[in-house]
Amino acid sequence: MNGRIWTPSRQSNAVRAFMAVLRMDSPLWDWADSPALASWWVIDSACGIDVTALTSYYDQMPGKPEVAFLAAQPGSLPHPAWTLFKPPVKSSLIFDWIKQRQPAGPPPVDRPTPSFAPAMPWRHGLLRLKRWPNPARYDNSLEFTVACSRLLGAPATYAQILEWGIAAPLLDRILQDALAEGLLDISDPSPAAAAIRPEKDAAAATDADTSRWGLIKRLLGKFSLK
Amino acid sequence: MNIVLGHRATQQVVFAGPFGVGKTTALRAVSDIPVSNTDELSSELSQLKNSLGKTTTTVGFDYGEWNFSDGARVGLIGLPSQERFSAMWDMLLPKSSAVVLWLYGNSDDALADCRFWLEALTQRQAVTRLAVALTRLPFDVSEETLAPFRHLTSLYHPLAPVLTADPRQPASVMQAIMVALSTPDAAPFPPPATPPAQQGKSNDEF
Repeated sequence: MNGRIWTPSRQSNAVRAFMAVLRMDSPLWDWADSPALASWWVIDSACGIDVTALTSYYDQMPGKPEVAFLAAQPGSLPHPAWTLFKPPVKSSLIFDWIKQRQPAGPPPVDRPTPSFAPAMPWRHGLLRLKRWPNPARYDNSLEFTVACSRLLGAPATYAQILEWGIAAPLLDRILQDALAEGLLDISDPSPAAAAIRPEKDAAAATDADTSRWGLIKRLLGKFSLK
Repeated sequence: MNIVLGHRATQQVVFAGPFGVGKTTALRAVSDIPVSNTDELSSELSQLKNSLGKTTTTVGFDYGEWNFSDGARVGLIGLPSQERFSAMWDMLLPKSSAVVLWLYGNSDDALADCRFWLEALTQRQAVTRLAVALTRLPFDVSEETLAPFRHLTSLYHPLAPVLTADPRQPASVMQAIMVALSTPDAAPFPPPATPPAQQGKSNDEF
């Protein structure tokens, strides 16, 4: 099992609250973009989901995820193997549900889950983004914006990116998604290449650049207060 | 008396896009001041599929502002969508620090709209700091949905971001602006040759 959750309605407040509770348990809980990649689903019945299609898809899956179904009416549970949660969901119920279904415990906080480790080629290469990933997937992370902007401009190693202040779980998620979507280049991490610093660090900034980054800094200050 | 002609902002962020997509809404969502607005009753009401009862359109331009503690101001400008007001585009786009191109993500015409606006922006040297924001889509929309927009946009700016965004949500609007501003320089490609049939928009839309 891993800590990846899929939902057809990530914008749902109830689903977001559910995820927030899980992340209290472990920060490694993360979203999956495809239902097939997730061991856990969270379905909010209030979001107009096609439940029939979902249950049909679920029944055909060889390895079935654990499913939390959020609904006000107990009788609306569409599949006997799913677990009903009545919003607002108490965090203790979520923790109990997780612990019953995850005998080995939640994903460890201090080290990556073993199942992730072999699938992280970006940790050993020189990385460059070819295009922006969809920022809306990553909440409103300023760290995301900064990291992607720099990775679009010049290659960097995983360790160098971490020095920019982005959290490893978020970075892994961004890079994993970017790799899956063909947006990430990973090249040979030779010592000479790894020593390359982003071009902008060394280049003299133009007036336009100074003006632009000045505006970004202002907005970061203003934005962080909102 | 302190007389000021024109606005006092030294930089400006411009919102562009088709009629009813949410430019004025986005501007209102993030502006520090009440938005100066030139909406008039629209003559295009009968053609709307996506505007959810919108009955007005911007005929001049919308103006909002960010004010900073040191007195600096950044102008926020919503362009009129109709090509007959393109003189406003000529005036405002070349001076922009960033442009967010808002498009209907759920429209069959979205790619045609995208191409039309990218042409208009390119002609006015306004693709350097560009973000293409698709509305009316879930934030976690599949990559397959974004791919055609990424490809088309890359013909005009190889690194310009394509994202899903909600013009009603300030955080979402800010995110679109931030990624537009944060996109590294890339020598924009010359605009692709466009078959005459795809240039501009049909008369039905104006």
